[in-house]
Amino acid sequence: MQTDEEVKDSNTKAVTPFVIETDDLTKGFGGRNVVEDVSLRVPAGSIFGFLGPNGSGKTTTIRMILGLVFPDRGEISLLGARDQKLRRQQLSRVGAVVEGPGFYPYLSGLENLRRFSQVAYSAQKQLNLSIKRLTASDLCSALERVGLLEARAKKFRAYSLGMKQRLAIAAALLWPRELLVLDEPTNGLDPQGIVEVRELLTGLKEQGMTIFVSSHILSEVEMICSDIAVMGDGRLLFQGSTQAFRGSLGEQFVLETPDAGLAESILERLGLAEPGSIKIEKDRLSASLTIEEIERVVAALVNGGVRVRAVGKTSHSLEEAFVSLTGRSGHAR
Amino acid sequence: MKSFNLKARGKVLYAAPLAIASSALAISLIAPQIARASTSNLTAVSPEQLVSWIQTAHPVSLNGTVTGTTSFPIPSASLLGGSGPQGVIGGSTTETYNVWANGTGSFRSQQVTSAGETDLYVNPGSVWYWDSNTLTATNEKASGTAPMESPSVSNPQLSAASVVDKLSTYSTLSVSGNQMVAGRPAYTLSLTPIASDSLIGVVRIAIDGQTHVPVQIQVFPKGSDTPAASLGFDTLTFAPQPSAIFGFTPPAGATVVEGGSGAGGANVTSGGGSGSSGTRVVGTGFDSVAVATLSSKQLSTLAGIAKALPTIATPLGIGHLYSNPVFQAIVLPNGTVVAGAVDTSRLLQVAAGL
Amino acid sequence: MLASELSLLFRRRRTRVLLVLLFLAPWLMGYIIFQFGGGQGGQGPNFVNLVTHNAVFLVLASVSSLLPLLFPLSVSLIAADAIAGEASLGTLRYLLVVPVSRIKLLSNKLLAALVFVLVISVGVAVSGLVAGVIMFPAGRVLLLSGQTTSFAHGVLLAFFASVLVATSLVSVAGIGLAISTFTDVPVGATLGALGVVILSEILSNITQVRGIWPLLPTNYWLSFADVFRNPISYGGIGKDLVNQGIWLVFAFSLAAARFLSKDVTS
Repeated sequence: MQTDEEVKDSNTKAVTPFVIETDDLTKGFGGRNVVEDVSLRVPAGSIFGFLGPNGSGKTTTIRMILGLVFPDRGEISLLGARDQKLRRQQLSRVGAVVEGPGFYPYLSGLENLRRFSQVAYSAQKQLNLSIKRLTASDLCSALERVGLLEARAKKFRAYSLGMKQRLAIAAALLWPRELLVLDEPTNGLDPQGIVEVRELLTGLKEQGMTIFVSSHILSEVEMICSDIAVMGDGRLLFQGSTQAFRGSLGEQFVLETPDAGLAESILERLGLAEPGSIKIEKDRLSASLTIEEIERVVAALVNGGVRVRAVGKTSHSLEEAFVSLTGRSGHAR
Repeated sequence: MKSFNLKARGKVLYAAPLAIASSALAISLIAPQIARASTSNLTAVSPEQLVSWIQTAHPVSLNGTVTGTTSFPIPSASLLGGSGPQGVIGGSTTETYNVWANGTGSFRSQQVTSAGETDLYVNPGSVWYWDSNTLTATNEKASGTAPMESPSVSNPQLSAASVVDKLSTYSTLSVSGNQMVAGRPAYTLSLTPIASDSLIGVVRIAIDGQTHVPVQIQVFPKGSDTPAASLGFDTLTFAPQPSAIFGFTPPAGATVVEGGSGAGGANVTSGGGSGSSGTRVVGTGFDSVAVATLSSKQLSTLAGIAKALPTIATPLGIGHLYSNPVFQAIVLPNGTVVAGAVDTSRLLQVAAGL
Repeated sequence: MLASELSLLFRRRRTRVLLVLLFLAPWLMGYIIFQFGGGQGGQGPNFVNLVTHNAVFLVLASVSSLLPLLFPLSVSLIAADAIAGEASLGTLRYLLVVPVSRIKLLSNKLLAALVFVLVISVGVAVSGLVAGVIMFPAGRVLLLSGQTTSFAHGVLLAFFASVLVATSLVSVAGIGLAISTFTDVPVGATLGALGVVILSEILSNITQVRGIWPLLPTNYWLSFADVFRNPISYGGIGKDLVNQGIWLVFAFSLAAARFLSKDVTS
């Protein structure tokens, strides 16, 4: 057992540079593993994109991190707390929007926030945490932040989907947070709404908050994420900086030549490309190569008698990387 | 600290509800047997001493619950030797009464029914029977019944005295193993019929070891360990009782009936009074046989029932026999009924003498 | 936290409609008896035919006619909504990441349901007393034993009886809560809890299972009427309290076992 002193201690110290760490996280439902051996590392201060098609295990992983679902195997550390009891305390420093908004349809937006603030207040009092009791004006300013002040007295059931999403974000930000966990926050939002959420998240990051955001639509989060993890069929397929993600598949080598067939055989002879990985369209050949390989290949092609019209390289787009990893398009279905 | 894996913890948590459910079930099924298992250890005493205690028992202050059970339909009159309330104690019944008595002759019996309650208020000089369902107060004083006679159905003390008075001279008396009644040690007086033609194996009367008050009566058929009828205390406390329990004045709005007939029997499950046009008793003690001549109306009611019964050859022609382990009756062709806790040959013998 | 639960419960229109309907029951019953006279009631002591004698009996007649079905239905509705309702709205996951402890949420839900139980039984008693005094005489009160007591004492006894009715419904609240942790469909949990009550009432009429009668949650429900006997018979009342207590502890421990190890996927 730990004393209160120790508990407070571990609350205030970040032991690792990661706000979320999981080790071999595994969870099965009905005999099938929906999450398998997932070891996430979410760096402090990042906007972390948690990507993957629907059904790839993202939501279950998030629910395990938030203590809603119990893992079959593996460990979770949240804001440096590995023990489950401590992890619940850490949750008070985490704002979350899990799988869409969940509010009482028969209460107004303001009453809904009051309900959650009351429960949060008594829950955190029970944990001996210092917490400010929110006044009506605190709640109103939370609503104002997401543009719902006008609609505060309206019943939740009368809100539009976009308003519901924004209320959920307002609820997640009722108190200052260190980590914001957002599961599909842009679901159901119009393009304007998506832009607003992106701006909000960038602003929060600048205030020092770490943001963990999941999405099955890559393009929505691509430009704001500093780090990315990609899930597919319950497994973690990639994890690292957005930059590294782009680079992971190497550079795209593009050659324009009337002798595309000859060029292909030279590439294959050099052992630089697997048969079939080279794409040829008319006078244009493309293949995935590293920079060093590109340096070698040009000389080999010229020596081999290939008439080179132009040589270039382009980086893979995130989209291409995503598709090649997950086998699915990262666009909304 | 592997506190994450709650699979195992979940199973541990279920131990609590499981333990509660199983112990509640176990206690409810086993506890009654444990209560019965205890025995007592009283100093030896002669049957004659027990008889004298029963006969000289005087009113004491007590409070308790009395349960009367019967396994077969038995006309109470014939069982108790031809007197007492005229009525049939229904087949396989259990009746529970709360009873209070004080040392000055007041007695109150309360039967809680699903529709309310019925009460018997016996005070020196008055007997009231109350039915909350019909809001009826019946004054039995004017009916001429001896005040202390009718409540005997819920009063083991009076029933025991009546049984001993009527049957002890026709019985072999013995003191059998001490038993517990209402959690108290008690002597047991056994009355075994001398007459061989009785269906009754033994009548057992339990007498409280400390106060010498009769607390239980059981009637066993011949060759059976299960009582055909039993009346006794389940719980019993000897203590002064507040007088407010015994007082009764018919409340405003109630129907008051003066001298209701057979009202005493209504505190019993009254299965249709025998109320025959003429009943007499032939023989004495366990041998006694009731002979009833039925009115034509009663006869026509009975005829339907009798047809379903097996036939028997009697000196007066073909009759119908009703039979259970402690009681038999023959409906004779001429409409006369002979009945008693005796075997068939005794009934036929009586029928032949008519 | 309890304040928040109670405000959530009693602010809801559904709860208010339910309360109004329950509180109107004595008026309806009183009016019918006032117009057409008392008759034979269903199960339990026949308080209905006593109503015309005294206002106090309208309280008892109302309570005993609501007890077999409408009270358990109302309590099932509220208790079964506790966890399943939050799950179906999607608010459960948000409450848990707030982060309220599961056992605290569960116990506050139970407490709120118990407050509701007390509100309906005492509320119906108050409503019945007011309706009774308006429509019927308020003199000395007849007891089931045939003796009488003062009107004030009779009123006191009626409220004692209504509190006992509330304690008789404690098991239903617990069972509703327990079933509520096994499903995300509130209606299913309501029907489940009501099903247990009805099953219990059926079993209590089958003599072959006499042995388990004392364990049935509805077995001693009519014991509240024992308050109107002289002397007050505490045997059945005490057994009811023990029975209800056991059911409550059992149901709550079952609910806790389930809820503390439950994956919240709603």
